[in-house]
Amino acid sequence: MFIDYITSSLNSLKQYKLRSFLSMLGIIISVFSIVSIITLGQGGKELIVREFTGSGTDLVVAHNDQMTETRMDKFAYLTEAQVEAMKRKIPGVADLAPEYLLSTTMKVGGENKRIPVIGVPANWFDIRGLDLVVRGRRFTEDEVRHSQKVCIAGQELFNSLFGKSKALGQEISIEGIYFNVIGLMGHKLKLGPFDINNALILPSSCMQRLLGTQEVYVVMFKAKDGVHPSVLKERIGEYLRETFSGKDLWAVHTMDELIKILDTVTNIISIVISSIAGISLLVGGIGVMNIMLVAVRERTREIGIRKAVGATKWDVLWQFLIESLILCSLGGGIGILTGVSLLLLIARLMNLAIFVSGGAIVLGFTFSCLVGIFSGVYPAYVAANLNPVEALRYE
Amino acid sequence: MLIELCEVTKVYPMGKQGFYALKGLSLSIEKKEFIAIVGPSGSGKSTLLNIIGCLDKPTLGKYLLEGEDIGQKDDFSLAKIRNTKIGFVFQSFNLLPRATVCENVLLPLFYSRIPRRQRRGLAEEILEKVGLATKSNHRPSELSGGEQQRVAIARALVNNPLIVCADEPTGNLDTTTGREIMEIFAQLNKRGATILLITHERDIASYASKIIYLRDGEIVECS
Repeated sequence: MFIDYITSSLNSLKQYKLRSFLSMLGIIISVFSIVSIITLGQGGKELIVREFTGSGTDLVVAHNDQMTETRMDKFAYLTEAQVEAMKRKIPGVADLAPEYLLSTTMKVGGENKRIPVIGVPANWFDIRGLDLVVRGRRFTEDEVRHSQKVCIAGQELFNSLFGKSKALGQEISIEGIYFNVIGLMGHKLKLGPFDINNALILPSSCMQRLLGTQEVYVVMFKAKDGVHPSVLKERIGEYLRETFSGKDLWAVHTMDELIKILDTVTNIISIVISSIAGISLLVGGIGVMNIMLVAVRERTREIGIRKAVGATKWDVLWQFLIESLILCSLGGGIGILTGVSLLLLIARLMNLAIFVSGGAIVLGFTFSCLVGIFSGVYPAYVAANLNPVEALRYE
Repeated sequence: MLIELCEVTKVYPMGKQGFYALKGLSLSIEKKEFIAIVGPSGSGKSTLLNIIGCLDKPTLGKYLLEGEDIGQKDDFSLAKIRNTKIGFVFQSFNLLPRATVCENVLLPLFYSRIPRRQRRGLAEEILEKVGLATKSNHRPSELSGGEQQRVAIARALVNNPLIVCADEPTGNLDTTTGREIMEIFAQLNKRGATILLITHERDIASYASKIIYLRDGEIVECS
């Protein structure tokens, strides 16, 4: 029976192609926006998080946190061996790297400037995950092992020291020792307190010599796949507390706070655009209802004929309800198809990884069906309750 | 007795008094009768036919169809009765313009929940009888008036109704075509169908076995 209703509805929609399409358009546009917004919202958030934090959300930072301590010799530090041990002893650590920090004064463009210097092992770049090096290369494990005097300079710093057009291979003097510039780095973001464009990165081994110590005050951790950073953070905190005989001398952070802010922003954007899409879906639904009412009026005589040959109220009601449902679900389907194909096209053109969310598709389709029912009920009710004698007389 | 009308009154809401289309009309019709209802416009012919055809209910009085009180029936039962026991033929054919001839004819079968596969066969069988087997896939607009009315008759007959109600079936046709249509009705009647027909024209009425004259909602003569 329902197959009959469906074929009959499809026939009448085919009859009024343009009108059907126009009334579908509202639904198409709103479902299209719902699908794109949800997909972009989810994919985009992933993308922004990656962009902001480098390796994404699996980074945990531990550092000395004795804010009120003024005496250097009282600072709680880790030795290189202790740091290495953490990799084995704390479950869920994929990799880790200490960061050695130093601030040096340099004459840049005629004035003395304080330049942050960061000493790191070669695996640090992978843990950070940032595509820091924009020109040249990073240093290798070998270079670290042999304390090669190489460095990576912030782009801005390099330009003001040597000029833009200068080739790599220039030498920079740090605390009296000359380092060969093998790479330039640039990033929109500050890495913690440092402006990466005006900083220097050295092999950790060279840094230890410069500092004259192997004491570690900052360690970067990368969580294993499937280990939530906040869980790892707890474990690291626990481990450090034990190391420092139960005292909270070090602090541990995840990228949670950053992610939370991003979440709030993207959620607000999603909510705003979703409500606009919701409103347009409502308007689309009203459009469909309007068209259905016109159709009922136009086909009054047809309804009379159908009733005269034996159609019940329910027969007529179903006919119009299914017609409206088909109109909306078809609109929803087209909206989803165009949305998804446009997203895939954008993904391909901009070389982005966009994952079309199944939830968005289901949501968009469900909503368009609901709108179909909502906007079809009243016109179908009107049609079903027409008096057959009057309907047959209708011109 | 197939049809029994007892003091049937139909009032349409109009003004303070209402409009009395039928005023206490009584009538009985046997099976296989061929009845013509004649009268000036506004005499209540169509109202009478609509009540007999179960499209409308009387305001007062009783209408018994095969002994069943139609006034007591709900909408669903009435739809079922229209579907299985009544066949309508209208002056303006009332075919669905967007459907093919065949689809028009099988429309009543659709509502009697006859399986899809059987419908087409039944429709084509009946179209054969009215001589339109070859036009099964045409649209009504591609047919002449006479042909359209034959499609309408085929639609009325497809469910083997007890009664065929025809409201001025020749009104929109020329005399020759009108006669052809009347021949079909006469044939149907010979094969045992009960036919009720409204007409203005005396020679059309002459096909009937009984003529009922109506004026102002009352039977003035019955012959």
